Amino acid sequence: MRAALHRAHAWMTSHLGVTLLLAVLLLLGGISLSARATTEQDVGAMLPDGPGSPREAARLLGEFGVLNTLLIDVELPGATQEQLAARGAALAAGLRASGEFLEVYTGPSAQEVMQVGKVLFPRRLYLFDDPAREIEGRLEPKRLQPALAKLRARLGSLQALVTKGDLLLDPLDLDADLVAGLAQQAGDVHASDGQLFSKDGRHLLLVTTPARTALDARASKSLLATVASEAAKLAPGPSGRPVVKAVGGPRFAAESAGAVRSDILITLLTSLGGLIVLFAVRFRSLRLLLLASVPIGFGMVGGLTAVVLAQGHIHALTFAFGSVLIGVGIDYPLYLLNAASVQAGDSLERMSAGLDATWRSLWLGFSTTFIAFLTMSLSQFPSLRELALFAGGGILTSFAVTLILLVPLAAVFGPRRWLGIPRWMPALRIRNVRPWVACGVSVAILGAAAFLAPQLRFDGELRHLDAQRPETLGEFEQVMDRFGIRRADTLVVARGHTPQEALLLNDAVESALRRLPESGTSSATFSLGALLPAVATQQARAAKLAALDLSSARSRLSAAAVEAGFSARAFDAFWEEVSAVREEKVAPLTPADFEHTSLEPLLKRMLSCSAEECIAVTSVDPRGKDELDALASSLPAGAVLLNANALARNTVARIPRQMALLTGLGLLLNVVLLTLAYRSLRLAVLACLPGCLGLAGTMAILSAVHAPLNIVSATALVLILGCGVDYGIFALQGLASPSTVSGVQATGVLLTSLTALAGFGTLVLASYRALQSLGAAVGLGIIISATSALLLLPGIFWVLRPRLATPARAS
Amino acid sequence: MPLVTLTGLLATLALLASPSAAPQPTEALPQDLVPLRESLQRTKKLSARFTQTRHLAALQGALTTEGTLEYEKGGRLVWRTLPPAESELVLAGQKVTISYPGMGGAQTIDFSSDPGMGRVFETIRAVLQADLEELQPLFKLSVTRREPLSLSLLPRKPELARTLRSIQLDFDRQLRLVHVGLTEPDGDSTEIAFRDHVVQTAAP
Repeated sequence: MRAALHRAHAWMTSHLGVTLLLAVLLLLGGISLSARATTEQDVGAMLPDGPGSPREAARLLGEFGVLNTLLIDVELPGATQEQLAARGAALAAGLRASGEFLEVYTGPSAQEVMQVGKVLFPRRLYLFDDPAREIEGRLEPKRLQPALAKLRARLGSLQALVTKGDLLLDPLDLDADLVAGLAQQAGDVHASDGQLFSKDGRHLLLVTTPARTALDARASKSLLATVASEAAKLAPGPSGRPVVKAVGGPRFAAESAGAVRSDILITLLTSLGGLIVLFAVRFRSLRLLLLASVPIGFGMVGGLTAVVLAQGHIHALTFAFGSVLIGVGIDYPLYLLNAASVQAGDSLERMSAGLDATWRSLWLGFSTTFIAFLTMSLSQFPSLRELALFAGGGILTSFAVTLILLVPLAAVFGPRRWLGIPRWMPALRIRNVRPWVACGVSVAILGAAAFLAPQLRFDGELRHLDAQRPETLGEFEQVMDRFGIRRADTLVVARGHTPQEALLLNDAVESALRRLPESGTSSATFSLGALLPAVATQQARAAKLAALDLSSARSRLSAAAVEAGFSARAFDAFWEEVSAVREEKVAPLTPADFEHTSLEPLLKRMLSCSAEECIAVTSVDPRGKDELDALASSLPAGAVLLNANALARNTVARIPRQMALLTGLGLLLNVVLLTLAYRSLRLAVLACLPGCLGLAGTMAILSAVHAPLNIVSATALVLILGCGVDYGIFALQGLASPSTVSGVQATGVLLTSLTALAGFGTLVLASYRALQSLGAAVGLGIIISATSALLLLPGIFWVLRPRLATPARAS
Repeated sequence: MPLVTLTGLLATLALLASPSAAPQPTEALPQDLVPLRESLQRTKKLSARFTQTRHLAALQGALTTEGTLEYEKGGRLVWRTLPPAESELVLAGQKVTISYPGMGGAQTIDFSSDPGMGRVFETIRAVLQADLEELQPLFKLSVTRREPLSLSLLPRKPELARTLRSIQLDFDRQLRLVHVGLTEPDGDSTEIAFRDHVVQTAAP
């Protein structure tokens, strides 16, 4: 195979034009294929799918959260509520006219309120859990007398000229409590003048839905600019300019994107600077840096093509982190170029000889890394499988391009005069770390890992990965608190084959939640049952009215009414309504009743149907873990509690845990492969030792400094293993070879570890926490495994080397 | 304000403002009313105290409330009922705000989003201001007494007649509105007596 490759290299060198043309066509083909892929941005898409799956949970929690909502808080110093309302209306009009918002909600208009009232009030008795008990309770003198006094006062108002009929329909003040109950579900927002105000009336709230997803950072940035420019147009108040604060998903996204951009720029420049210095010191040639980058470029396209061919779409995070993983593909050109530099002959002969010298180690290094990605593809998480496919495809392509294309390219475009290894580099093959010290340090690292790794925390909270500024988060919390907007971190999902089945179970959920305050744990809930109970529930409630002794209740009200100055038959219309409901002459509420009302969008969100099933969702705001547990245990069968923290804890946190396990499996497979290659278990273990020490040391340090492992830093474990085992393979090849070769291999290890540090370690400078954690984990892993390969492995090699091992076995 | 009150108010008023209740072609104002029109046209600002007495079948006796009325030509009209039945109705431009200070809450209705509603409140304003130009298309006006002037208003359309059987407007010799009598089809009635007028007029 090698002979055929050498012949191919010779042909390609002499036919470079054709070679380049073919290479470019291949690259363009891959790019055009990749361009057809759709990019997924929903984080939930990284989780397992299906009814009741974590992905559905994440989607629902996302829908009820504030990701795609921009809340705008307007304050007008020293102004009246009316003046504030005018500014709010002007701002809303400006934002609507900008075309950047799908919806700018200011508050319910009188007409909308009237529409909803027309739907709800004729059927208000269906909205009480037990209408008979409710009526009985309200007929108690201590409640009835104030209600009648209030009614009498209302009849004296000017508007009572036309509302008289409605007022007399409600002697027990049912409507006010019903409205108060509904209003309570909306938080502390006070609706007036068609606007939403804070409790103190000094702040106004606009709830906006952007036309584009908040994850579209450019659109989010433009959205914030529009808000700022429209806010600047507002006239000042008596005591100063309006203060407009926009908080929510789009702001987080825009700020995160800005932070990521600057992070990428900084880390790119830092790593590029590092690579330039490295290539300048080692090769005195920047051309070689360009040539060494070619396999990475192909690797990216190869990875993308693999994912697109397999599934037609790719998640943005896969592309981002996969590209980082593929960056390790620069190691193969580096080992090859480093080895070629010490060979004799013309450029092609040098490159060919360098390939011969590193052939076996390159293959072993590639195979072990590829195995690591293969084990990752065994994960039950689609995200990890996709990442494995992308990184595996990328590494494979990058390795193939190194073997096939780099030799002719370097032969033609490489330096005419190759610089040998600087004198100080071969000196790195040192054995001044005594074997017992090397063994002791290794055992200490493994021991520390054994002790500390079990205490390593897994953080599944995806929000901990972004670049939220504390001030932005603080403003967000402030606005949420000011308007009493609840976090939709916890949902209860009720399922059914039909909307009515789902609603019926939802009613059981509501009933269970209502019992919780009685047991001392109190939750704020927003349930569809308050507006739309299932038809069966409404019928059951109507049936409960049969228990009401109508004539007794009627005479008690009449007596109290007469005492309050009303005529004995003043409330006949009310009793007619009660009788009509009892006799089921009033049609129960159905979802269709809310069509074309202001509640329709809310209903669509809380009650949705797919081809398979319908779900009704209740939003809960538990006060703590105890209450969450109480909630979970009190739910009826079939209802599922979804909690963002629990989702993070139980599902997303499994990703890093699974990554750790899969990395262990990858390590085992590496040992098996190397045992077969070396025909020696000891050599295989020795080759894997730097990777193991890198992994163990990284986990021990992260645990010791209480830094949790997250989904991003967990993927770094694969990288540490891949790089660490490569270092072991090349260092071992050097140790088992004549001293000149040993120096070359040690230099190779040093170069690749430094490039990895320049490429990934510099990510620790990032403000974006995902990149930061990746940089920290990879940086630690690379330093520990490279140091182990260069300093500890020689000592351990002399202790553990097989008795019959000859230099030829490992080389 | 309880939603039902508002709902009832708006629903009834919306009915009154429905297309079928659209104003009739204007007839010439009876000669007897020309001085009243001229007097009203000169009024720039007016405030008065009122006593409203409501006779409802649902109540055993009369329900009496006291309050104030203020209006400015082309400006706000404020109908304020004093405690114990405290409430306030402010009609300003394209908006009406109804509030019950003792019970918390206020509701504003913007006529720009519902022109029909706007017409209804303009009618209320017209009755309280005895605005003949506005009232004439909706009601059949007849002079029941010339000195001091007394007018009877009968709804022209059945939709309006379902809410109001008749309106009686009485003026003093200075052509100030001193009494409004409203009779409903079910026999309920409302008497509003105005006193302590403070009128600011433009020069003739």
